[in-house]
Amino acid sequence: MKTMTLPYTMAKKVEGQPRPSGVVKRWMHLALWLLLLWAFIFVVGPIAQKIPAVGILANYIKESGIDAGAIYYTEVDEVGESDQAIRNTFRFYLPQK
Amino acid sequence: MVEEKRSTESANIVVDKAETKLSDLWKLEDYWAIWLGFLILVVGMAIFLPRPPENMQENIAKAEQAMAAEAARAPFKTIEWHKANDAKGKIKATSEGYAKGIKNFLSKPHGWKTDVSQAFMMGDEAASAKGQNAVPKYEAAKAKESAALAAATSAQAAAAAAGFSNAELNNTAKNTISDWRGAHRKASAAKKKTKVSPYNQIGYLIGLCAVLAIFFSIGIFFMKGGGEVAKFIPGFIGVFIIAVLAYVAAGQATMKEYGIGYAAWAILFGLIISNTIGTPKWMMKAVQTEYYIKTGLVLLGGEILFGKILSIGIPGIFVAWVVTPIVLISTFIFGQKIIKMPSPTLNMTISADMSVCGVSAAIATAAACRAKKEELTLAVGLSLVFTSIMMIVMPAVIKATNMDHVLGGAWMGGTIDATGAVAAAGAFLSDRALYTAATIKMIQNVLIGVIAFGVAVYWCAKYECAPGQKVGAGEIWVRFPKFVIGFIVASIIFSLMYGSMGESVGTAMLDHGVLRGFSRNFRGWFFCLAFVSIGLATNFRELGSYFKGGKPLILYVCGQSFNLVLTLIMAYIMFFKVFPEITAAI
Repeated sequence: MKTMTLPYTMAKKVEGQPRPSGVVKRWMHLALWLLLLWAFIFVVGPIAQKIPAVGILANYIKESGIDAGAIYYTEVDEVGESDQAIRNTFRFYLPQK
Repeated sequence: MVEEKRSTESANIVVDKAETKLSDLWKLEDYWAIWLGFLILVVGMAIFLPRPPENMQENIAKAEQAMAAEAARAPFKTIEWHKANDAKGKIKATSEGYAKGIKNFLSKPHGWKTDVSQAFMMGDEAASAKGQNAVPKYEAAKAKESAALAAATSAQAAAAAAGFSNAELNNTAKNTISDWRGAHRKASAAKKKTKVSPYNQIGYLIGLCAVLAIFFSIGIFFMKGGGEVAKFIPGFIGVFIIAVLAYVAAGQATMKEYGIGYAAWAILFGLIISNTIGTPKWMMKAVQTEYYIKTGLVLLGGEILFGKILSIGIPGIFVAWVVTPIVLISTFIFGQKIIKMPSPTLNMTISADMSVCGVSAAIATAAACRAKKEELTLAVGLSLVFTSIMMIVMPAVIKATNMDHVLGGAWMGGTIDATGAVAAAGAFLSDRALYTAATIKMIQNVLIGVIAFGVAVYWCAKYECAPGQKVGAGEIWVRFPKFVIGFIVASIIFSLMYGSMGESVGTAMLDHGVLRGFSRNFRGWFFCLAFVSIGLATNFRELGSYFKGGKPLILYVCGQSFNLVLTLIMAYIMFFKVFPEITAAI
């Protein structure tokens, strides 16, 4: 195997004495991780949704389209909607507050 | 000794040079984060502010007049009030044609279920078929909405016939209107799914990659010279591709339902690459975690609008701005004194992400106290796991205990880390729960600015000192992470603009214009690039060493337990004992 074609960190390891078995092992580790991720996304995730509490909420998120993974309020449309509804409630129904 | 320790760890943490020179302004990445962040904010303002929606002021006034008339007519929010409120909500700069063009360009890959190519493109036929498939559900949701509206109209008419003075009829009307709002939300979401347009995101992603590569190269050029730019650009393309893959994984239908967002995937993909085949040297030139994070944080500063903190009145202040700092400080002290966390920066990052708002708070606090990359990774991982659990468990507990949805919403808003998960859990219960939960969370989001600034000052003035050492203002300035100034200034400028425009116009033009239509998209990409960089530069073994003894987990669980108890008590006192009229109005 030609070290020229390998990523740097791998090439560094095989410098001088090529160790194709080590290279293969690294790529196999990568393949194994990708397989695990695939299993998590397409096998474990859907199976876990068979737990009633998980499945009901998951279905609601799917139907509502809410971005449950959003990290800040500006990424969630429903937060803007809630902010406006609450502000208008205060403004028109609780003007003294 | 402290300086020595800092210097040995400087390769691994966010550190400024311990001296101040004029050339810092174009040599330090903290300043470049400020310049680049403000460049985006200024461009965003130049695009959006001169182009308000047509008849914006008149339409806002019309909606508000209708709401005022309904509020004068009935003691509860009527159907007409909600329709006027909906109409007001549609007045926003992001609905304009030019804003949609910008959104397409800055968009992340699309959602998909089993066919990953749909993350990037969808033809006419596939789009049409997908839209058609969603029609039966929409028709069913629409029918339910019509029935709910008819019931609400009838109940409201009965209450009106009694002059809105019969408490029982008023209550019935209020509840049926609430049911209609739930059905309306479902029908609106179902309608969106019937409108599927064909798309091809690949061209936009290539264009965005080029724009961002040039954008960040400007700073690299001044900080490191032209030679480094030539090395940075190929590496950036590699980092950007992994960031795209992170967004693709986050867009998978099942993962979206669990709320597993881009941050987790970006770190994971980076980690897998660096710990299997190794991060290529050419890519390492663009593994610039702090550069991306700091620029993203300056943009985040613009999103911290202090005018938002009064959205839900005094109860919101107490639940979000009194409980949160108490929990943060208590957890940090508990971590230092009782658990004896080996790293104070890890302690602070976990305490902040657990008590404030998850990933975004972890990023801001980690940068402010110069936490290590592994510490940020660990804090983000803990937050994501517990967010997924709490998003499922808390609505179930609230339902099982028949807890009032305003109280339940405030409880979830104050405790579940991620904002998206709070909105999902709240909306799952009811509109009342959503409105309270989301607004409390939003107020807590704004707290990030104060927390990050406070942590930065505390770390410079107290924590990085030898015992008994006093630090002068000059030394604090030298040590202070300068990008925090950009972060705070952006927040102050946008908060002042928001205040001067007035809530309605500020929401339409800034919140739903410059911020949601422009800067937050860039900020999302920058954080994603930063998380990819963290993964690419992190070793599994090193990461594992931070988790030794399970102390971070113990800290998170203890802190979150305290948070759950204190938030519930405070929410109950505020919403039921001190301000019951607010609860009744929501």
